[in-house]
Amino acid sequence: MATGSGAAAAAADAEEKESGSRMITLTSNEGKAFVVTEASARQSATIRSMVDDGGCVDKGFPLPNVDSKTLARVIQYCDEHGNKEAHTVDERAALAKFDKDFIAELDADKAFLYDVTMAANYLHIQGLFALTTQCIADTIKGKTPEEIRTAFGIEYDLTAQDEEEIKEEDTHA
Amino acid sequence: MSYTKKAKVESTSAVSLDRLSSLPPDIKVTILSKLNVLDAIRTTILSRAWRNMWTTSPKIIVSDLYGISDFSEGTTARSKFVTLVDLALLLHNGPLVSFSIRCLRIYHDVFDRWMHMLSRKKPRSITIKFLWGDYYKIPSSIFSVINLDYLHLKRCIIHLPQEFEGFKRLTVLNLKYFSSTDSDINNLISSCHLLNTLRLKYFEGISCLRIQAPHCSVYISPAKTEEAANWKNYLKQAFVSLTRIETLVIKRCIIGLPQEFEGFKQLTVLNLKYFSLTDRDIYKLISSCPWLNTLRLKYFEGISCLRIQAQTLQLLEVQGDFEDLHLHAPNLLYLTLGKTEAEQSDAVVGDKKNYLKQAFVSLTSIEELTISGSFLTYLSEGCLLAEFPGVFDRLRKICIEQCSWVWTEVLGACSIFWNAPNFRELEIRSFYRDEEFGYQPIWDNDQAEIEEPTLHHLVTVTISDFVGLEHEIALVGLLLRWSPALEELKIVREDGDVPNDECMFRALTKLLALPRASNKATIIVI
Repeated sequence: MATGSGAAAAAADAEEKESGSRMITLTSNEGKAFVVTEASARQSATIRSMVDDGGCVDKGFPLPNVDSKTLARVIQYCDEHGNKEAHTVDERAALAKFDKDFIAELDADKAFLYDVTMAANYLHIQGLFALTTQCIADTIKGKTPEEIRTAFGIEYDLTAQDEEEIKEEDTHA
Repeated sequence: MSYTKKAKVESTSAVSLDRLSSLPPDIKVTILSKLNVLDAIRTTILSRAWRNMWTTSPKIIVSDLYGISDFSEGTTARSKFVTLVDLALLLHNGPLVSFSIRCLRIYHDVFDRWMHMLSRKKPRSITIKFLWGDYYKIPSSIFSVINLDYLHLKRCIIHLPQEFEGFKRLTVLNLKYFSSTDSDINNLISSCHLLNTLRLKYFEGISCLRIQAPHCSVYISPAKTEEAANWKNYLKQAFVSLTRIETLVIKRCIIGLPQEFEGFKQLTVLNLKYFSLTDRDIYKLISSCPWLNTLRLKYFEGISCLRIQAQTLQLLEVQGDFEDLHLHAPNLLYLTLGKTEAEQSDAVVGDKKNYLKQAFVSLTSIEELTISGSFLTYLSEGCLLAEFPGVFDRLRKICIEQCSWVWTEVLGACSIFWNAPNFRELEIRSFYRDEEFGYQPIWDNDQAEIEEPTLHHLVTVTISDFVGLEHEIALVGLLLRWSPALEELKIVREDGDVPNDECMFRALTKLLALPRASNKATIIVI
């Protein structure tokens, strides 16, 4: 088993080396172009499959659903995870610290956190999506409904009929 | 992706009223699936947008340990939890992928009902953990969830219903603190054709395990206590049928190979801990695994002469009481050797020493060697001499553990240094058997003289658990004198009982005065 995974890692390394030199252009919905390494872009499953299908690497990838500010932040994550190694304990710890700081900054700006979450979902960046959704879940955790409404600015719009239904479900169980 | 576009049209700068609620449903569900049911259900009454959102979450996670501070009395807490689980199972209304429940209290009276409701949802993953109390008998409804992929049970009784058809899709089976019978457990395991991980820990009622699971990693630990009297030879039968196993981990077992044992032709990892085995069987077991890569043998009995012959072995860890070691592993990279007892009297006598010499001759590709102080004493009995230089050409790191720095250990270490011309890194962890003994100078002047080695490539030395004893300082002195390329010598003081500051101060003063062969050497004391 150990030899198998070693061979796979070696193959992945070789692939990375081969493709590492290529640069890829991502364009935000405002028309701003971002040039990133292929290793960085491959963090996104959406872009990865387009590249592997022999898509328009030269022409670049327009991303009509992502604005410049969000894209810049998403690329920051992809650069860190795509371009850096994570083999040793130290390297993994460095990445974990990056993630922690990255999400702490986003957490302070909830509206931006949602934008990044949406972009991560659209681009299928699994690690980033898990990170942002966990952050939102952690905010909800342990709060009363009233506290959650206050925290997120949710307007209470349940009708009397809805409330009746909820009560009924409660007693039903 | 139209919803994404729509969301973008709105301004991102103004903290628009309720961005959380306007996230697309699949993202909201992802967020809810990360929450305990208690929190997830609360979102129902947030607003209309959240009304029935959680009922489509693919995961249900419940635990009566969570949110316990909200509950006042024991009985109220219990009934609230029962209502919560009932509600969750009743209202959940989409495909359920994973269900996980952890309980501190006992709910055996209502649990069958929950399991029945759960089984109709046909989840792929089920985790049931009781942290306390009598074992819970898993009802037949759970055994009807035939598409199950992952099953993890704690404190349960496994009894198969008559009509059990097998878990044909199950890949992971993890049972801890359970009771069963030979036929039930063996039929259960043999029904899982796709099993790739099997963990059986702390069980009762089983006397014979017949594991038939090709391509599976197996972890077995029958009992938690270390009483050898309770060890049984569970694996006699298993050994015949596990012909394609890749990883095998066994604790607290007597291991006897059956006559018809043909070897593990695909085994790469073998870990045995607290076990009893004969000389003949351990040799047969190891030499019949042609692809063995990692071997750990810890705390064993019944072995006097350990014979290891393994062409592909890269990592070997041996910790236990044995008298002699035959080792032939030409591809070994990492070796850890420790003897639990250093019986100097019966260590290597007569022609036995040749075996160990041969053993070390075969280790030409080793890169990292970890060795205990008592093993150094064993080596110093004359078996490893300076007469074959260049044995460990590739060795770059040496770790010496449990080092009490008696002279025989220093001799043993020197004989390794002589044979490792290129090593760069040395780690030493001290160990004191006796306080009194520690403060006496233990190197007599009439100790056997050594031919001092020169450690041409040694760059870093780390000495841990340093307390500042005379012979520790003397050792640092030797290392500084022998190492012309040394760049850093790090001394980590022992945390616990540092004798006193004055003693350490004296020790440090002496350290600073030591002559150094390398003009780059720095001494760092932490």
